[in-house]
Amino acid sequence: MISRKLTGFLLAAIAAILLQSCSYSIILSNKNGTAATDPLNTKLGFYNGKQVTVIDTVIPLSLLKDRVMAINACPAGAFHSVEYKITFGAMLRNTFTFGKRKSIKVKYVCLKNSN
Amino acid sequence: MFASKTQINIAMAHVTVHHIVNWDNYHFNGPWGTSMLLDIDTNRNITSLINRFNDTAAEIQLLIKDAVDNHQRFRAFGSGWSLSNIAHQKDRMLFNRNLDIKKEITAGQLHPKTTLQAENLFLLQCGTNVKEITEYLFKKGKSLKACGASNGQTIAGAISTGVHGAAIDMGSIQDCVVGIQLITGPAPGNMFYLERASQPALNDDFGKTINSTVIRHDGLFNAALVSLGAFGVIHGVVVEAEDRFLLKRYVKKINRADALQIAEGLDFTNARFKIAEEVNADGTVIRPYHYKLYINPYKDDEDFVTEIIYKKPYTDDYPDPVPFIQTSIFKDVPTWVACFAAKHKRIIPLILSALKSEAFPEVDKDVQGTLGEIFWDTAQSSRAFGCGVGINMSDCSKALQIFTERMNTLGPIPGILSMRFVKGSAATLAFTRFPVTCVLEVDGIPWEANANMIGLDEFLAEVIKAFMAAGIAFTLHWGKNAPWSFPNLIDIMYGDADDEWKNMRSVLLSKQMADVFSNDFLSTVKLDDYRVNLPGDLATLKNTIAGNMA
Repeated sequence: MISRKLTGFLLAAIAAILLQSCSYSIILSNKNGTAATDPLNTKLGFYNGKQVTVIDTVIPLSLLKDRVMAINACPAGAFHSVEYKITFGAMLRNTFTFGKRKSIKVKYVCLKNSN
Repeated sequence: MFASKTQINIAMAHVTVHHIVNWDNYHFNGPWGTSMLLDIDTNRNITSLINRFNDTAAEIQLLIKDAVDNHQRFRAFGSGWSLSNIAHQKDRMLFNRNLDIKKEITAGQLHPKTTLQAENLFLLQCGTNVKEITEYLFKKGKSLKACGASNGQTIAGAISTGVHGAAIDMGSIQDCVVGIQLITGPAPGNMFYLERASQPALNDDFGKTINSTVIRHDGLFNAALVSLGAFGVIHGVVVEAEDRFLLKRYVKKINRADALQIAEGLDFTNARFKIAEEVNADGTVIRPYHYKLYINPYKDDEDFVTEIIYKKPYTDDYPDPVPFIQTSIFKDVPTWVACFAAKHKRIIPLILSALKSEAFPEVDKDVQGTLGEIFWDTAQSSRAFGCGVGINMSDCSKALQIFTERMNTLGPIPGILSMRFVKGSAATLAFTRFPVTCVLEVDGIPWEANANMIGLDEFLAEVIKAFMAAGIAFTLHWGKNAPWSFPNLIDIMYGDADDEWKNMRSVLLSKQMADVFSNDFLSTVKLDDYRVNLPGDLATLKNTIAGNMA
């Protein structure tokens, strides 16, 4: 009984680790310019002091035109950085809806609108 | 941080008021209690940049007036880069990062007696950070003469605390400044444009253009240059740039004796160590722009990793150095390492040895780029501490020996050492006050003092006592961690210079405004007192300024 429970626990742990590796994010950062600021955003790491916008939604394919989603985002007209997150669940959703519903998990920071 | 928000558009520039409880700096050395954060931006609808600049100054004066009316203190800050609490104000803090107007100076604005060239002079608003300045100047074919090891500091913050790199013949960022616009209070006459009398830069009409009373006085300028935020709000500065150039960076391992032989005199001509590529055909040695040593304090038999940088004429034909520079920037050590080390301090030397490749630049990898590319963005993923002790170059070996001995006997502590060398500054309270200042630095991850491990301030206080016992004159970097409440610290470091600085502050500010621009840091270091009875010549100067304002 104990060994069954242990086996189950180990399998669950391995599955969790494997599923975790199916989820990752990448930050693309602009070499030029500086980030729009947020003096209240005091979090350790890349986003410290930066003004961050998060898009975390599921959209139907009809909202995309040629796979492009236009957003009215940055006053300076450019991104400082974009973080795109891929999750296992998002891939499953895309697969089982035959690509008709897409998860978007994006964090972006605009370039500072300099004088 | 809890915050509630109000939007104020009094007339001009935009201000968002955040009612907060705590404020923290970029490196998370706080938090400290603060009641209000004022986030100011320029009015972009004003098309003339100089009008927009003046509009912002007027807005700042209104904010100061409101602070005075409500018996609140007031302090401006930008990137919050300093590791000490120098930028903190318990009442009202003005966040100025969006004030980043940059403007060329024209030949018609030059002072008739200036030796400076208009093409090298630029007006920069206080919140412009080093990266923005380098990018702006690059487009004009120019460059800052020097910067710190990173590029996030604002120009006002950098000069107010003495941010430096390792430019052995140039100096710190404040040494490029030839004019300062200061807002010392809410009244129309409380805006000044300061220059040195011995180095006039711009004419009186320029002062009128920015609604400021022009004062040319070496003592006042030098005191206000490294002002610690205590002279009011630095709203703009005029900097002298130079033609853009490239930097060629070498990282070499040099044996300790040879590295310290150079360090004690910066005599590269007669040094035992030479870089073959940097020797002229006639055998003479090219003098570098920058010299820095990285030191593992727990391995006294290791060669020093040495960063030597040479200035080269600009050409656009060079590989992009940024991808490599990104990999060689000091990476933060996770905070848990510090927690673990605080409990098991004996492993600290092992941890530092293991992390050496992370903390030190890669040896024998040469790279070339502009000032802005070589001193690129630094990321920070954990809390950090840093301490910079300034000493005369000739004392550097002795000071290093004392510092490492204390690290080994009182510690170990989780930090690595480095030495940079900077030309002396004329600023009254510049911590780079020696003809060439060796900056002995320790950087690492903060830890909690406990029965097993000495605290950072306590450790640094012991280092100070050891320096004093050995007769080594020293200063401490204003923007870094230090035992700031050490008895008579400022007198020990600066002799009479702090009296000169206080006098100049009292010339320019009223007693009330001196208090408004004071903070806990100034009180701790005993620089907040006001001189009611000034010496005769300064009393005359104060009266003259008051007369000109009227």
